[in-house]
This record gives sequence, C-alpha cells and structure tokens, in this order.
Amino acid sequence: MIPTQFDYVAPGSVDEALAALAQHGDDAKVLAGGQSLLPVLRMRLNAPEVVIDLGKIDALREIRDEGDTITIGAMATYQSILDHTGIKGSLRLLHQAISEVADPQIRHRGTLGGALVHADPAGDCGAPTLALEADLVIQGPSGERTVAATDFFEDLFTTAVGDDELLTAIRFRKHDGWGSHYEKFVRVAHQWPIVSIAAAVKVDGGTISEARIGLVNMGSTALRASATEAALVGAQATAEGVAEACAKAADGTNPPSDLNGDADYRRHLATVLTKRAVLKAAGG
Amino acid sequence: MNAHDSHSPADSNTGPEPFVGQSVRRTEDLRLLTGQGMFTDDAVVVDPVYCAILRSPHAHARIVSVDTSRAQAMPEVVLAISGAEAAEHWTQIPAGMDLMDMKLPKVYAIATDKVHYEGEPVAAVVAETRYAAEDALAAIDVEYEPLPAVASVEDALGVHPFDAPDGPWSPKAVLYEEWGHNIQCDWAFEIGDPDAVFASAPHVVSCRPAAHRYSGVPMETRAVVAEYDAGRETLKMRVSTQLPHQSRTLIAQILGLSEPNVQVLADDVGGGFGNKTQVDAEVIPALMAKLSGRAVKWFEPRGDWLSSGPASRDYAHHVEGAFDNDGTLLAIREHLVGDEGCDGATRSAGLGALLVGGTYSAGPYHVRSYKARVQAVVTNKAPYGAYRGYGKETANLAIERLMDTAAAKLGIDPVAIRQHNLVREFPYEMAAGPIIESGSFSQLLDMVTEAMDLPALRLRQEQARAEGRHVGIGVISFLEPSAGSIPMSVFNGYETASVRIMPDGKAMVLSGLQGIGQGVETSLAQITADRLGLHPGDVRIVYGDTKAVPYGLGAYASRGATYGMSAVYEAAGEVRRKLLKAAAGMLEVDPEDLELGRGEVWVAGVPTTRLSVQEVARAVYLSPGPYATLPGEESPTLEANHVWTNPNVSWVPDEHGRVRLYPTHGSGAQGVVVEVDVETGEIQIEKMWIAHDCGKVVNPAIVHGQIIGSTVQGLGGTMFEQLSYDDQGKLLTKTLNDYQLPNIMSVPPIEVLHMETPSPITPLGTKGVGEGGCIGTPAVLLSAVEDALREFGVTVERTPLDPMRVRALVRNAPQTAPVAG
Repeated sequence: MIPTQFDYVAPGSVDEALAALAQHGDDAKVLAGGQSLLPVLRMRLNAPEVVIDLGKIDALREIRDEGDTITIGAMATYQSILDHTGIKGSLRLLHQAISEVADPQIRHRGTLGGALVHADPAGDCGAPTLALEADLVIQGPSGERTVAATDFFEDLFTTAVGDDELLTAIRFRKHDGWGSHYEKFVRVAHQWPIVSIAAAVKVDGGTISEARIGLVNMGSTALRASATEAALVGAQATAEGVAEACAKAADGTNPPSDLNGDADYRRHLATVLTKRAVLKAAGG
Repeated sequence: MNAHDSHSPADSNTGPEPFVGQSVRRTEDLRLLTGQGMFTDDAVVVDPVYCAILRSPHAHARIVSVDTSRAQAMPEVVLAISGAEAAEHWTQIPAGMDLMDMKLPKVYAIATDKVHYEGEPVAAVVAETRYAAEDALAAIDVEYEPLPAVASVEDALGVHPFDAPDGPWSPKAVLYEEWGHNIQCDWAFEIGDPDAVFASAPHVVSCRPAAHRYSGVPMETRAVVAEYDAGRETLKMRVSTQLPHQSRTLIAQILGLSEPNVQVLADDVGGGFGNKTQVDAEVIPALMAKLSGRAVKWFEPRGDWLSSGPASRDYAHHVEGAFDNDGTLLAIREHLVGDEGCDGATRSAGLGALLVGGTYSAGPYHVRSYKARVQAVVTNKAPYGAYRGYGKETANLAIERLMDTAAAKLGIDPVAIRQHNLVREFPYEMAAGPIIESGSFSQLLDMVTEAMDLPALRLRQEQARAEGRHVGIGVISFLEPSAGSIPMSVFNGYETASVRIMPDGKAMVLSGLQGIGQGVETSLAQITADRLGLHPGDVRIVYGDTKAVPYGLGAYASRGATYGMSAVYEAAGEVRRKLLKAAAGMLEVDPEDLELGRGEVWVAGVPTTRLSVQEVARAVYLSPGPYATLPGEESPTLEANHVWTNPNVSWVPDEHGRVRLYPTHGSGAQGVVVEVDVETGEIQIEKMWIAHDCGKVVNPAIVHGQIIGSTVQGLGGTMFEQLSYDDQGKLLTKTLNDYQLPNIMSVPPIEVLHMETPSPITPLGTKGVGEGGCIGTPAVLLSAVEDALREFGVTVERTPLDPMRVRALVRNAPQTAPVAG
C-alpha cells in the first residue's frame, strides 16, 4: 500500500478521539476496521492529513446483552458479532447478513460501525439494520444522542454522524418470534451484492402480521421497501399470498446502473428476491 | 523420429519402475508454499531506488508537453524522465512478430507524441522510496490535446466488416496516421472451392459467436529489478517473464547494449498464462537503471496491470457451415474480426491468436472445403496479448456452436452429429493446413458421455422441465494444438537442453524452458532420471538465467511437453550413451550388456558386477579422466547438448497460403450440467466433466492440475471476468472488485478423465497440455445454457454469461415458456 503521507493518531478513549476530531476536522479520516478506508488510501482516492485510528478504544468493541436489547459497540468486528450467541439467537437477520460479508479475513478485521458510517449502499449491513429498526448511538462534543436507523442514512456515503461526531454503538431490539432471511445476489461469493434483501416477518396462523424489508444497492442509501411492508400485513404466507406485495419492492427506488446490472434489472431482481426472502423468512 | 525407439527403463522391463508416468510430488512446491520462492521483487539489491510510471488518463490524445521539473526537484527523486527525453536513449519497441504483411506501430515504451490507450506510459521516475516515487508522479505536468477515442470496431472502421468486409472505411480517428486506416492485419485464404459447396449444399447454418475482453490475472504482476554496471557496460535484470532469452534480445536491442552484456534472470514467476511474452514497460526500469547508475526496482500495481497489461478475446465471429442431409459437414466459411486494442504485434503478441482462430475452426472435425478471413482491428484500448487458449478457444466456440445449431436444424442428436463428423484416421491434414498427428477424438466423446450417464441426465432434465426448472446439458469436443511455432517472431520452433552428470553422480539440466508454475522442475527431472538411472531428486533443473542456459525460447503455447521435454530426452540419451560406454570400459563388458537404475549400472544377470553412477562420473571427469574412460569420444565428458526441432512445422505458405504452426495436437471432450434460474438469470453449474488426451502423460498430478486450472480460467472468463470500457475508451474495471475472478465457491465439481494417444513426432509421445480447459469451457457452457433455455427458442452465442444478460435473453425470448419470470 502506497498512500500519500498522513499523520496517525490512536486515541485511547472516545473523549480523546472526539478531541482529535475537533482539532483536525475535515482534514481527518476515522479508521475503524479499515476494510473500506485502506483501499481508498491505497488507490489515492482520498488523501487525509490525519488518520484517527479507533482501534485502541477497547470499550467500543463491547457487545452487551441488556435483556430486551443487544448493544453492539461500533468497533465490534463482524466475527465477534457472529460469535455472540445472543445475536445468533435473537438477531438472526443481522447474523445471517454479516455471515455473508466478504470473506473470513475481512470479517475478522471489518466492523459493523465502520460499515454503517461508511454508508456504502451496496454494503450488507445497512439493510438488516433498517429492517431490525436499530437505534444508532452517536457521541459528539455536546454529548450523546440516538438516531433511528431510518434517519441515519442520508445519502451516498453520508450519514447523520457529523464531522465532529463518532458512532459509538448500535442498539438492536431482540427479534425473538420473528422469522427472517437475508437473500443476497452476487456473481462471485465474496463480492458486493448486486441486490440483497433483508426480510423480517411475523407470522400468526399462516398470516403475516408484521413485515420489515431492507434493500441493498437499490439507491443511494440502504432502503426500506415500505410499500411492500404495508401490503404484506394480512397477507397469507404463501407464494400466491405475498406475490402482489413483493411486486412493489422496487417502488420508489432509484437503483444504480453498473456492469453487474442496470437499474431495470435491479428493480426486477428486487421484486424476485423480496418474494424469495419473505417466503423463506415466513417459513423459518 | 519414432515414439518408441528408446532404451529407457520405461521400455526395458528389467530396471526399476520408471518415474515418467508417476505423480512425483512437485519439487518446487515446498519452497513456494513456505514462502521461500524467489520472485522478482523478492530480490535484495544494494541501495535500490524505486520506479513508478505515469500513465495517460486519455484513451487517445496528442501529447503537447511533459514537464518533469517539479518532480525532479523533489528531495527524494533521483530521476524523472519524459517520453521525449527517454527517446534519446533507446529505440522504438521492436516487434515480437512480423509476418502476413501485418502493420507495426512505431512506438516507444514511454509515449513521445501521442497516447493510444488509457494507461500508456507518458513519464517515469525513480526515487529513494516507493512513496516518494508515487508522490512524484503527481508533480509531473502533462498537457494533452484529446483526440476522438476509437472505442470499438465500429468506431475504428465506421462500418462493421460483417456488413462491408472491404470497406470503404470511415474511421472516427486513425490511431497510426502512417497506416491511413485501423487494420493491423487482413488475412484470407480458401481451399476446396467452398463457395460452390455452399451453393449446392442441402443445409447452410450460421452463427455469430462473440467473446468479450478479458485476460489472465497472474498473482505476480510485471516486475523488474535492474542493475547496470557502467564500468563493464553490463545490465543484470530480474524480470517476471515467460521468455528470458528473447527478453534479453529485445532489451539489448532497445537499449543499444551488446547482447552478451545483458543478463536476464527469472527464478520463480508468479503466473504467466501467455501474459508475460513481450517486452513493453519492463524496459523502463532498465533504462532508469542505466541512466541513474542505481539499482532500480519496479513492481507493477494491480491497477496498472488491468489498465495496460495484455488483454485478450474481444472478437466477433461469423461462421457458416454447409451440411449434407445426414449431418456431414461439407464446408466452413468464416469471418473473424478482432478488436485488438492499440496493438497486437509490437507491444504484445495477441494478433497471432486471431490467425489461430481463423485456421483451426474445423476443430477436430473432418471438412475439406474451408474459407477464412481474419481482420485485426486497432482501437484505443490496452494492447492485445497472448492468453491461455490463444485463439484455439475462438475456433472451438465457432465450430461447437455451429454443430449445435446444425443439430437443432437437422433434427440430429448433438452428440451424434459430432461423432459423425469427428476425424478418425491419423495423421490427418486439416483443410487449413495443420497436420493432426494422432488422436482418439471419438473415444474421448464416448468417455465423457458415459461418465455423465447422458441418458439418465436427459431424463432428469425432462423431469426438471416438468417442475418448471431449466436444466441444460452441454457436450462438446475440442482440439488443443500445442507448441505453436511462429515464423518471423520471437515465438519460434525449437528448444535447447544441456544435460550433465556431475562428478558426484548427480545431474543438472539446463533448459531453455521457463518455470512459471507449471512444474517443469519436476517433470523434466522425471524424464532425466529415467534416462540416466537416477532419482528425480538427484536431478537439478536450471532455467531462467541467460548467463547459464543456452539460448532457448521459454514457456508459451503449451510447448514444454513437445519441445522442452524432447530436447531434454535427447540430450539425456546422449549422456546415457556415454555413461554406459564409460561404465562398460570400467567393467570390461559390452555397453549393450549393461543396465541402469537407482543410481547404479550393472551387468544384466550379474547384479554383483556393478558401479555407482557416481563412481563412473568421477572416473570420467577426474580419476583417471576422460582419456582413459571415454577414449575416442569427440566430447568425452558426461555432458550433451541438444536442440530439438520437429518436422510438422512448415513456414513456407503453400499455393493456398497455408502454413503449419502447431506440430502436436492434444484433444478432449467436455460435458456440463447447468441450471438456469430464469427469474434472475443466474447460472448454477452442477458438474463438469472433461476427458483429455495429451499423449504420454509424464506426471498425472501435474496434468490434472493443468486441466483443472485451465477449466477454471475458462469458466471465469466466460462467466465473471471482464475488461470493460466506456464509449470514450475509459476502462471501467480498474480493480479486482470490478474485474471479478472466480474463487473456490465458483467452481463446480470437475471430473477429469484421461486417455493417452502418444504423439508419433515426439520421442516420449508427449503433447502439450496447458490450455485444454480454456479452449472447451466457453463452448460447453454456452451450449448448456442454450439447452436449458431451449423452450424459449433463444440463441446463446455471446459472452459473458452474466446474470443480467442471461435474464435479458429470457425476457426478450421469441417464445414464452410456461414459467418465464
């Protein structure tokens, strides 16, 4: 890796990190697991003067089971999340999506917080975070605030986290009793999804009573398929029952066009994959 | 030459089990797998500086000015140089091949007046650190005057040659003004009055196969370590190359050095695949070493490999077949148009692949009337190079798509039409010229269909269709011409070997081949060991050092098993003769009465009368010496040199314009079962079968690895990998995130079946094996996908088979199947 020259600071606490951010402002980039930032630096697409490494702040790596909720520190690696039995049991959608992030090497380095703040709409983590209606805990000079997932992703690579703030944790309500499925569509296993669907549904006596659908790579941010979610309520959990609702999965989206798929193909995939994800979620 | 005239233990039945034919464990693997390899950039040199190359951001532009002064003034920068400055110190790049009236660009390794692709070098620096070198690139000021970008064959000619093969052309721009047009080579020949055959044939079928642009992605990109000794005027260069000797020739020529003063070293090479068969950017760090007086290291960034490395495929093919009512192939007419990017003959060697594609389109099938036209068109993309397959996959896709099309049209089973037309008698002179020296094509096809249990698969396919699932079956044959020998080129037709038994009784073999991962250290040692009665572990193979090894040609065109092995076999045979002669004298017996094996020589039937090879060797070299042990021998030590050539290469075009470039022909058959998800376009490959015949197999494990590796590369290219440009000639796939390589999850089970039909023209019966899976895999996948989508009535003849394209085939299908998504 041959990046441009930068200064490196590794604060030992969140307060120190916030102080470093306050000092360097726009000239600084925050380093979490480095799985997106380092390629950017390597390709010289970004030339920060200072890199603030959060890797020494052990408190940000904690995963806490709080009864009804599980709070994941922003610096918890994908692998540590996968290894957490509470997440495996009560947040299966998140667990499944993270288990399909890239490859084992990346999952041992990359962090959930880093991925969410990077806010690549093709990332695997935004959609389950939306579908599970997580709360994101942000700290800044004036203290701590909590932002709902639906308000967190603002635009391509842009979130509610301000230049002088840090995402410190992600809080998930346990989803025991929900069925879920992460349906990922890729050409090669470790690659970014062309489209993915994160579906969580509650089924009572064969009828869907609640549904949350997150979409990956269907716009400038991770999205929720609100029209489908609404239409699924009351639907029979069968192929025929969910078909009409799932056909709305791409409503209101503006997906990108690239070599893997143009916008029309992505819209089509979203409807096909949503149907599959919902049925698997309802069956599981 | 005869296949079975040898006296090696392999044929004697009295000595120990021969090593040829055994899966001897690869001697190179321990060092490679434990991080002890010596790849180019691993070399430690005294006080190095690091080279970085500034590359053009434009596909086509005139260079108005290059100002290196700001870079030169940076504290750690040793030297910054523009193309115009460099041109005072070197020549234009000499062509790697010059035949068939091809046009050759006159270009330097660093552009002087014009750039022809995004990624062409425009300046270079060396600095004390790699960081400083990269930083300095940003301080070089280049002013360009952009020109219209020629991003496609249509841009290059103004009309597609399928519509107007002879023009008139109206190019968007001309890359090389002195040519006046954008066609590097236009080659045609015909034999057997094909137009008359077509006019009277009961059936004419045609298809238009086309492949996108992709290439090899070796783990080690291009790399150089160059040291210039001004006192001796010598240049020592480590290069990641398949051709150390020809690299030395070209580098010496470019830099104006005496060729004996240049040493090229290539110890371990991290992948070749045909991609490292030219001298292009490699000469830049060499010049920097000469000008700066410092040792220079250059290790190409991956992005530069993708933007400027040799690309492949990227062609459109129009092929027609005339068939009789019973499915007999009567004639072929074809027109192949290649998009070469900026050059396929000087900066890299891809042009020949198009000529091969136009020569071999009959594949393993019998046909006597043939007409070919090949047009190699230049555009503003990276150079066109060699890549595993080298046009054989182009020929194969054409004939196999034609066979499937004819089978469907004539209502004949696709396997049956192939069996009906396969060549069965050998040697067979193809209509296009090459002589297929031996083969068992029909048996290979049987092997595959039996291993697949084709009738059961067809039944399962019917059941799946009834459930609304789309299972497809593909079965194809392929021809694998090997050991290509191109006249008027650095890809010539001979190989050298020098074999020696040393005084300690162990052997060293100097081979002009180059190790690029294909296991030559093991397989050549097996052959030598059998000839000299030694263990392969007592045979040291030396290659990749122009100071040690006689001039040889390296690794390309699957030539090792034909040229390299035969040269070693013959040289070792001569050493064997002298060894037995010396031993016979020492034992006072006739050489004919001696047997050789396990490091010893003994009198047949008298096992107690024996000498070790070491005892004989010491006697020959030292005590008492050659006057006593090999009296009367012209060259009385245990050393012999051999240059192997063969009779089946013919470079003088006959009255039809035909030449013979490939002397040996491996062959095979392939089968695959796929399932297409018609809602998403995703293709699941359930299983692949490949039956392969490369003649005598020296090391089955190595052959197996070659077949698996080439099959996966064929699969990757057909399904995932893509060098994609926009309509301004800008590369869209600049990282391995965009250029998607297959991984272990992408690879289906592959069952490999072997058959051995020896070649009569090589002493061991060997044929090349490096490219088989790359040749047949595109065709078998397209065949299977078309079969899966049969009820939609679609034609599958283009790559890549990515899900969006497959879905579009279904969506735009002429027929709607019951379960279309």
